Amino acid sequence: MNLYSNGRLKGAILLGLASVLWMFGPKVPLDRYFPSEPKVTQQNVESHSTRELAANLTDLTTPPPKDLDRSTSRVIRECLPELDPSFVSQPFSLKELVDHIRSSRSSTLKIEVQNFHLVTTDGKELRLMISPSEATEFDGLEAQLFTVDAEGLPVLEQFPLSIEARDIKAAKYYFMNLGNLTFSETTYLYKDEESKIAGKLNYSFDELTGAELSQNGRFLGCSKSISSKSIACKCL
Amino acid sequence: MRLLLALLVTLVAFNVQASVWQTRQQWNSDWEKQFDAWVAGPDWHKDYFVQTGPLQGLKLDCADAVYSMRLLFSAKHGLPFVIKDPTGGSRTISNEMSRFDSQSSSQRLRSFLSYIYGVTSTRSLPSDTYPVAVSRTAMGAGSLLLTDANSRHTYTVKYMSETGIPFLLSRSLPPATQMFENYEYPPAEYVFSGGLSPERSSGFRRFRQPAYIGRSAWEVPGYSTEQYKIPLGSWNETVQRKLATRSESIEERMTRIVEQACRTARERAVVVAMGDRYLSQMSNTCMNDTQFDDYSTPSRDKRLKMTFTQFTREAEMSRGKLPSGLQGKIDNVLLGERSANSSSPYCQVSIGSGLNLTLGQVYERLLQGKFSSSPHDTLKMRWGFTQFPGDRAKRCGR
Repeated sequence: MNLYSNGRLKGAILLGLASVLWMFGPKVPLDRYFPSEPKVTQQNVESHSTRELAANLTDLTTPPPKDLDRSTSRVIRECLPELDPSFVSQPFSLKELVDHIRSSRSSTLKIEVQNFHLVTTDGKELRLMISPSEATEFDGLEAQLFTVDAEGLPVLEQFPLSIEARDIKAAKYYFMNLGNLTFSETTYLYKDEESKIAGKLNYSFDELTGAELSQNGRFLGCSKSISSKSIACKCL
Repeated sequence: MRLLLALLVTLVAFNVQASVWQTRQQWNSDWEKQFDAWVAGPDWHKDYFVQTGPLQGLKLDCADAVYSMRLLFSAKHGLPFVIKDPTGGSRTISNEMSRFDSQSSSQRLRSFLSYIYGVTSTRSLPSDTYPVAVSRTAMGAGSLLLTDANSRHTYTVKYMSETGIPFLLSRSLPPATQMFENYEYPPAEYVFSGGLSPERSSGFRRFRQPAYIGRSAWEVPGYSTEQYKIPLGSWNETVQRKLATRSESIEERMTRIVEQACRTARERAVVVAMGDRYLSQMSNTCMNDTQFDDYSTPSRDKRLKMTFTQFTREAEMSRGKLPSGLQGKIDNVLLGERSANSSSPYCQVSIGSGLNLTLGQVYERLLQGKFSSSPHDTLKMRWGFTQFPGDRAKRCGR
């Protein structure tokens, strides 16, 4: 197997440039992103990859735009027929839809959010992935923490020994502290156990597997185009 | 001085690899056929990670085994291996990543595999695969069987027999190097535990080619919801009938069922023994969630019970139609505890600590609910020699 690449020249040039920048650039201690003491002051933290979605979903002070047009609303009604008809008859935003579903405690509506992203004030991207345990023997969830490398690819990080990966609440608390978010200002988003959209925490809709809205076994996936600001929803 | 250093780094970088392996080919139908042939052939086997070589000793779970199947073939032939970033990033994860550049080629592949194992799971598989039609080609070698999210398990399909039965290779927790072999459809109620629906992502699937990563599953050529239109109660039989090129004789069927029961019981013995060894290394403390998760067996025991239930039903239906040798094996299992006293008990299951059970004993004890699924219980409790739960399981709350 030939494992040498034709990208060698490009890699060399990039690395050379990077080394020059490294020579003259500011020095940042790597451990600053993992403070031993939890920080409690909320800073200006926002998602790098889905910033505009975050603006709609998470800014609690600004009324959200009615970004779901009539055709999308129709799709949503078809996908989730048990939604309150009086709600879906009016234009509404994705955030309002999320809020509406979250407030429907009498029904089986729920939001399952698996991936959380945030970018610290100094530009470090952090991701928290929550997924069902791989074991078939245990009906549980586990959390994994990732930073992101220069290529934009996830790097698995270890939680401190005091954080059990199956303790989702503790994992989220730790994650939010890394982003200077306090737990009380944010929320515990999974399965409506506590209901409040995060202050500056963002979550993503995964079109294919989850991070979707579901109602009695019916699934709706929505994603937002960052460039056009339009939202597309479809039944899954 | 700084400039010189920068130049030096640049020169060194000429020897730096820019990918895990060089992409020299692109996936097409010919390569898909070659992939299927490789999976069906002798190279892909249960001891792949046990055998001597640079990948020896890698420990994997069920999803790892499935991703390995595609990744190893891709690496061998310079094909791209591309998956959606399960952590929600906008980029795909592929063999083009440069993180392991400083390592030797073999170490780089090992590191990449470990990395993929770390980020992927049964939950990420739906994004990287698509459901296929009910056909021998689509459901045969190189495909995978993914269970519902409630069951969280997946198998690689090594080949599809003439009689329409899949030969499956898989691994389950705790992670280990050796895979398990199964020659059977897992119970349909287990695979489709949340119901028959493409939204559940369960059933037979195949890997997407790189161009279709990030796109809706129904856009992938070959996408089909045909398997979700088959009634659950007769799913396995219907699919077998459709995939068979010849009918399975009753003798073949009963041989398969009784041998599968034996394999499944021995599989349980491996997992329970690992849990027992782990427990013996702990002080008198309780397992945490992860440890309990790794070494408990409720789902496995449920599957084994389903296998035995099917065995009982089929044994009744086939009585009087089988050759004496095979009928003898079946009758021996049906003897239950008494099979231990027979002169030639069928399928000895070595459970560790010098203890053995016949398949008949396993059959009777499991159906009578005498097996403990808790890794906090002793080996004898796990296998129904003594009553459970033990003190430790009681104290630990499970």
